[in-house]
Amino acid sequence: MDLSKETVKDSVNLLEVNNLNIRFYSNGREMKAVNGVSFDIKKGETFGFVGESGCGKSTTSRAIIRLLAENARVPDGEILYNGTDILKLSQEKLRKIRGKEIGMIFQEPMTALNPVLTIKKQMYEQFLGTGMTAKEKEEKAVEMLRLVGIPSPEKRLKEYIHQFSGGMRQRAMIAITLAANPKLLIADEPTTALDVTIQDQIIKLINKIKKQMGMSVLLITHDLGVVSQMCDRVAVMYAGYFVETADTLTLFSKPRHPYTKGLIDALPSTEKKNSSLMPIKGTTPSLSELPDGCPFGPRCPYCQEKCTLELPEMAEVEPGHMVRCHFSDKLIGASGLISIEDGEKQ
Amino acid sequence: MSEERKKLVEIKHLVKYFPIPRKITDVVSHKSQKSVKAVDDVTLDIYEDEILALVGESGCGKSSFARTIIRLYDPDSGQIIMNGQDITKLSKRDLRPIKKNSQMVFQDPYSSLNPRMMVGDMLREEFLYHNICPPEEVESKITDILDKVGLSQDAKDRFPSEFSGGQRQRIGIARALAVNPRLLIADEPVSALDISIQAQILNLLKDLQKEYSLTILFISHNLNVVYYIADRVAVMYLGKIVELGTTRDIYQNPLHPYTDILIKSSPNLDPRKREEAPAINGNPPSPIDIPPGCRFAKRCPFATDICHSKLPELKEITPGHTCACHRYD
Amino acid sequence: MADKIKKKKKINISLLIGIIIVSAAIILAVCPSFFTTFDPEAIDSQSMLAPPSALHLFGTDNYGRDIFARVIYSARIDLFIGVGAMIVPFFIGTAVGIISGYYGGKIDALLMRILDIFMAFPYMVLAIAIVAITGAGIKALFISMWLVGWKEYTRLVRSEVLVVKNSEYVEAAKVLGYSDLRVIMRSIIPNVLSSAIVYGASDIVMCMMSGAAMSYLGLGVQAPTPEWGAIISGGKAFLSVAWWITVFPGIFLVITGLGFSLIGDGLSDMLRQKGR
Repeated sequence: MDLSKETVKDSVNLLEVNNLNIRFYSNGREMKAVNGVSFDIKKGETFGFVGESGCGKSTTSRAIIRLLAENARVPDGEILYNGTDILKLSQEKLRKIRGKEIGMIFQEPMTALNPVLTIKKQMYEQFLGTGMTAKEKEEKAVEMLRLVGIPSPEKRLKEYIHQFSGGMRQRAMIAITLAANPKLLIADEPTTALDVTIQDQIIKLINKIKKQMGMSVLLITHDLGVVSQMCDRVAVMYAGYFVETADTLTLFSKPRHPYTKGLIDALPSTEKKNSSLMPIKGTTPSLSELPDGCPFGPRCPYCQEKCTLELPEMAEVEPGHMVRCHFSDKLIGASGLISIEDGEKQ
Repeated sequence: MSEERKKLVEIKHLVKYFPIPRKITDVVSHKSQKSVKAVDDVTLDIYEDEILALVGESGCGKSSFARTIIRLYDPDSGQIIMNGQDITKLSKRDLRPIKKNSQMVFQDPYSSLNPRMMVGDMLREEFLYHNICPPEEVESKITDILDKVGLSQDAKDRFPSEFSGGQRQRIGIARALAVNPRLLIADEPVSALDISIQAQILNLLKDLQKEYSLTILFISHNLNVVYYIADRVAVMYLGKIVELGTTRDIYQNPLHPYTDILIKSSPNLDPRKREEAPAINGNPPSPIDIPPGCRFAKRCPFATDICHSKLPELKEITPGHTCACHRYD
Repeated sequence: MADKIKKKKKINISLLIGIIIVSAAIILAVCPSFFTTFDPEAIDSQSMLAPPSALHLFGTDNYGRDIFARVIYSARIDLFIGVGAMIVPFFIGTAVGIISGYYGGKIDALLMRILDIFMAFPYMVLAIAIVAITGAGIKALFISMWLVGWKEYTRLVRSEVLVVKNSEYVEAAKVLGYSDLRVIMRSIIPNVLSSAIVYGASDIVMCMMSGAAMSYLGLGVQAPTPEWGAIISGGKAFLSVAWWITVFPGIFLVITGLGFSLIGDGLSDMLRQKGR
């Protein structure tokens, strides 16, 4: 099983993010989009951000390639890619990392790809500065399309993105992004706009290519099913904070943060024996008016006075399992999405 | 079980095609008029007091079907019998008083509410237009309905832009229920919502269904949501219903290969169960040029010669569980 | 997602300045006699082409008429032309746009072809043709501007209707069994009107300008009635010796135009905020 932590435990960190904070300013208000986020992604690992809209998962991923909006500031934090801080890089050096070292795919290929350039032209842009001959470029481009499972690649290379169907568009975008051989692929909701059967195909495709190319993947999604099928480790985000990180199996079987537990209980699933859904009460707080103390406090069933006063720190409850909650002990033994026997994990 | 139950809606051989505008060059070269076969000969009964789910992938015709049975679109042929009355051919004017009997909740909570109308005004208009109650009772009716869908009373004097997605969906439900409909069509009502909010809305719909003995036609592409809410499930593929049965039958004993693949495609929540290969390859064919025979034949792992030439009929395989597939001939 | 989006009341600077300027123009139009004691049409052969002085603030023209008085008295007729030439096309154009966009099909095709015909017709030629029939004057001015002005509103409103009519809230209104008229009045019009209103504010400027242009060409307001365009036109022969005849009405025309433009700008900002 490629989930087991053993396979990735000793490998080196490809990306290391320490205490990242991101603020947005609009209409004179400050929005705390990302707060004290720290994580690392190892070589060959798929790391997931999961959370609801506005939780800061996309913002964090965009900060990694410095694609933040103009009204964003990063007051604090470092993003180390292979040891160099991306936040301190000059524009010129940044360009060398974007695309070539870190690639990004998006939810909507129609808006992410250029509609007036052929797939070929956009693919060739990835080969700039590699000194490849025209023939090598052509061969590589065809190979990439074949890799992502696009039939008759020679012909389709000359087509435009609007000539592709939904699933094929996503495949084309993946092919173009991966043509530059990035070491890290950031996938922002890559399957959200797709039908289930196509989503299934794309999930399997990314998993396969990741293995073949030895890439790391940072997956951003709101769908726990997609997390389950793709990620080695997951971070649950809420209101700009990481609230729980663990390997996927642990997170799904032994959630220790009330929000994670809430998400799991609110998720309808054919696999859950208990058929009733437990919604989380209330709505997500506005990022410009975060409550004092724990951001999840106002919606939390376990909330006590301490939670309204003091922001909990990320604490390790088990090796590799971090939780931001004053009362994470209360969830020991709580049921998750799936159950595992003790000892099964080893 | 369904024999004695009263049918609220009977749909017989319903057909709805959308013609594709022809280019000048097509007209000159005498190319035939092409159509999107959104709903192609669908026969279906919806019983009173049930939640019937209609599942399928985008473009399978599920939304067009729903909009056709309430005459938002005019059917090309077939029959729609609503509550014993044939409404297929009713004129716009005759249709108006009975329209309130079937209401709709929409997918996008942002575009489904008039941005320039306050919630109270919207509800007031409904009550007065359809004479739901005497004018002096309108305000208390508004209070009731807001209460029922879990909105605070100050919602009355606010515009939709002041609400979050989940709250807007509650407003949409209030709008639909205000006129006491018999049939509620919920077109992907939770697919634009976050998980925690989605559960709130699903539970609300379930509770309201019980309280008002509503009949709900629940349209969704999300099989997990359908499993939670539906009593019966109809699976649609390229304008046709390929399987229909109780939720338990459909999920535990899917008969049609497409249903089986749909269920298997939906991501497994157990990370230990990862498959290398997808459940199905390829894309659904376009609903314009539909090949003869079974519509799923091209992608079906069990397809034989007959599947490519003859269209399978919907047949009852076990009581209450029908399927259109040559494997059960 | 914010639980509740705060209502923010930001003062819209351009709207404010626009309103101040236009109000000033309206005050001039309502009681010009408050600002000057001269009769704008009184000829004074004693002081022809007099430069600006304490007595004649803006000087006098070749008939010895006080330019200041003429400029002030012009405000009334210019505002009348601007608003009058805009308001009729606004209603006609909006109505045609709504009908065309909402019903679509053959009605739409017919109305759009009619619009194309008007698009293709050169405005000045049309105006001259109408003058030939009715004779020069304010009537010809209005008729020609009404005939050409509506099509912009139609195009603007129709394109908005095409978007709005497919929105789910319009669908919901139809599901509720509302009549077409009710759907149009309650769901369509409130959501398509803002761009037409914004355009209307700047259209007033255009109308005033074309009114002035027509008068300059001698097709619009006739002498001796004071009108900014007509004054400029009359002063053009004396530009080298008496610049004040043309410059002062020019400045007033430009500033009033600016006022309406600013209102248009401000309105569009405000309506955009409210819409979402």
